[in-house]
Amino acid sequence: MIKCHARGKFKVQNRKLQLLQCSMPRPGQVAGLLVGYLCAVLACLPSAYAASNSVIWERGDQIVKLVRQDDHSAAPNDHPIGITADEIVAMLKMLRLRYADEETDVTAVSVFTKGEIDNLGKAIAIGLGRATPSQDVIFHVIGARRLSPGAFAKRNRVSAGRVFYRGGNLNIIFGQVQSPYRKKNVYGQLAEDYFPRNYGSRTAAAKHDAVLLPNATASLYQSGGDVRDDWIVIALNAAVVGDLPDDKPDPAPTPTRATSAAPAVLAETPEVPSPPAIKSNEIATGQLEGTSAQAAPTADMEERLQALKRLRERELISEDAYQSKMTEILQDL
Amino acid sequence: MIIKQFKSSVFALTGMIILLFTSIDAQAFESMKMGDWDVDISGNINAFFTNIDCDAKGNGVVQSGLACGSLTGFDYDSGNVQTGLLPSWFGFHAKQDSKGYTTEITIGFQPGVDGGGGAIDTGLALNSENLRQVNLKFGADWGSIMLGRDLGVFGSDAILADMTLLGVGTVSDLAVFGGNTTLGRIGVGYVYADWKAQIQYSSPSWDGFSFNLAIVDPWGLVDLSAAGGPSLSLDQGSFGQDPDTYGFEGKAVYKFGGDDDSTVSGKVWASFITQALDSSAFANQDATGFDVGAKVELNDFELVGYYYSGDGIGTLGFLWDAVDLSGNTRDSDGFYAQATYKAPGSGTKFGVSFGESNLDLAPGEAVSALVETNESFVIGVYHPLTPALNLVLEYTNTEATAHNGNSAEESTIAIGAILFY
Repeated sequence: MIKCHARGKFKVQNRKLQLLQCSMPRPGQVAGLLVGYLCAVLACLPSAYAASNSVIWERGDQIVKLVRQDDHSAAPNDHPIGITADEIVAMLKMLRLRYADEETDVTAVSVFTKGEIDNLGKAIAIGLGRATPSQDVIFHVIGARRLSPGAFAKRNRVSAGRVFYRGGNLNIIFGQVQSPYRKKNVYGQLAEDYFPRNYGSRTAAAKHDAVLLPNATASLYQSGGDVRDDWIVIALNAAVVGDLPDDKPDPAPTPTRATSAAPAVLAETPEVPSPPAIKSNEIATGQLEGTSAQAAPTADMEERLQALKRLRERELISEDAYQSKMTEILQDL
Repeated sequence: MIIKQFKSSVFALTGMIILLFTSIDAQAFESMKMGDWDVDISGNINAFFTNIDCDAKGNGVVQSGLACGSLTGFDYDSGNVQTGLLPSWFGFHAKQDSKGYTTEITIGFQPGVDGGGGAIDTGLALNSENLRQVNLKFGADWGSIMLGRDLGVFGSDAILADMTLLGVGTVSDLAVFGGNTTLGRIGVGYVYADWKAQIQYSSPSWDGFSFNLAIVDPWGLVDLSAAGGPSLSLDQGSFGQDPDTYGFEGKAVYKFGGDDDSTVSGKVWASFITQALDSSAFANQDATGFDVGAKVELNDFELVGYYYSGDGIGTLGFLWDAVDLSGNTRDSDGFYAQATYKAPGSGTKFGVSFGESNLDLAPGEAVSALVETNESFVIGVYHPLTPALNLVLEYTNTEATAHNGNSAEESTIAIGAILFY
């Protein structure tokens, strides 16, 4: 490295100074110093990132963690919030999608597999209980789906997105919905995602091969007449919001309590429809699936019909599917 | 005969697997789940047109120099169609979760493109073939243990961060006539991590921090200097190297950022390597080295800085030209710096890098034509035509300088493609 030795002493303004002669370092040594300096600087980052990057659950390539809101100008979330894992599980079970290419698959299927739901339910509940108002819960999970009914082989698919609670609504923005799962093999390392991960964004809609379907309690996000088919809004009332889950490790933050007096609609989502209030026991038992219409008021039925009409107008569903679903809704009158 | 049969079996098995996957679905090569196993076939094929200008400067050989012309001591040009730094790859990987453990197997073999028969290939010359990766892994919340042949720990992040991994880099006299791969920046910025039989523990990640420790099959001394003139280094035979030892390697890594809310992401790492060099003819020695590196991504820019230093670890490969004829170890060090920019939209990556590897004389060793510095400057353009297919254009200038002042220079233009699957 840099080696110096004394060449003489002299005085300047009564101060004794020593003249040093130093040999110049080799370029490699300079690079080493630079790298060392960079390492020292970056060594300060862990504490900064630990606060914002908190892993809730991780298994292989699957992860649930807390991150800062993607849009820093977005209104703060109502976090932390106490929602049980069972409630999250019930909500995730209700989510359905249909592939845009109806020749490929016209059947509405679950967004998540049972394994994905089991993993996500607990982790998201913990995450929402820990998150600060400026944090979202993001997830990246992998589920295996049979190539065809009865087939031995399954196809691994990735779903990824962000979850946050605000104004009585649980929001899920999907960056990936059952996307192909691949790792790029670079020098024997299966470390790099073949397709970039996408955790969804408040400001830029993600394009999916599959279409998320609204239901009695889950609507597609609307803003300025545009419908975001990558963004699901699920209404929760006070009955849904219970105590923090037992396994919440950090009980220190006081969970925000959503009440009926709370704003029903997010400030930035003026056109989000307000689904009917849902009872926690309905969510927990999954009774909402396919049975919500019996309990739904007429206003809800109108909303469902309007949502159905919008989907048809955007050619996201076929005429046959539109007629069939409309008949099904009207039969509940 | 046995080897032929083994190769036939490997190809037959490979063919069956491909047939199985392609018959399942038109979208083959997705990660599939078969029973309890996640099965994945992946790798790449790459090939490059390379035009190589070798300038020996007319002042003699540079022993262990990596600019072509170093070992021959005279000028020549060469044109090749050959594999780049990244070997073409056929990788089979399967993973299973069972009883709280994740178990994995990985088998990969690497066929080269060029016949490797000399400056001009002759008929019936076969291309090269490697079997670099054969291992099993099992793990749980406590981390994982890998047993088998895999990439070494020391220097691994240096080559994985090297932009020429998707290109060609330095060709050298060693690969100018073909062979499995070129050198990229191996020996001109870092010591090759190599593929080693080992048992490696990998820790879980704690908020981005993780570490690896490995016990490694002992490596032997190599005398590359003899390829360019009279021998200046001892190899494992002439050193009388005792095989009753092991190598140890380890690494600590901290990864940060990486989510869509992070403007800065990357990692910093530090690793070490050590192995006893016990001798029946000379004094016992130790080979010990360390490295530090950082890769930082800021929006569309990426910067890489790397430095290594060691005593008795040699240059180019671990223990290459590491010990002089008196049995004394040589110090070595090196570095590289790299900057790339990815154009938004097209995804085209433009990169520039500079690096060098230095090999000191051992204490009391006489000045000779042994290489003192191998250095290179690389400019590259890497364009993703599709997520799988990259087109590559690279220019590499490599210089080798000997302790006695001899020098050689190589200029290589490479154009080619690499397709991942």
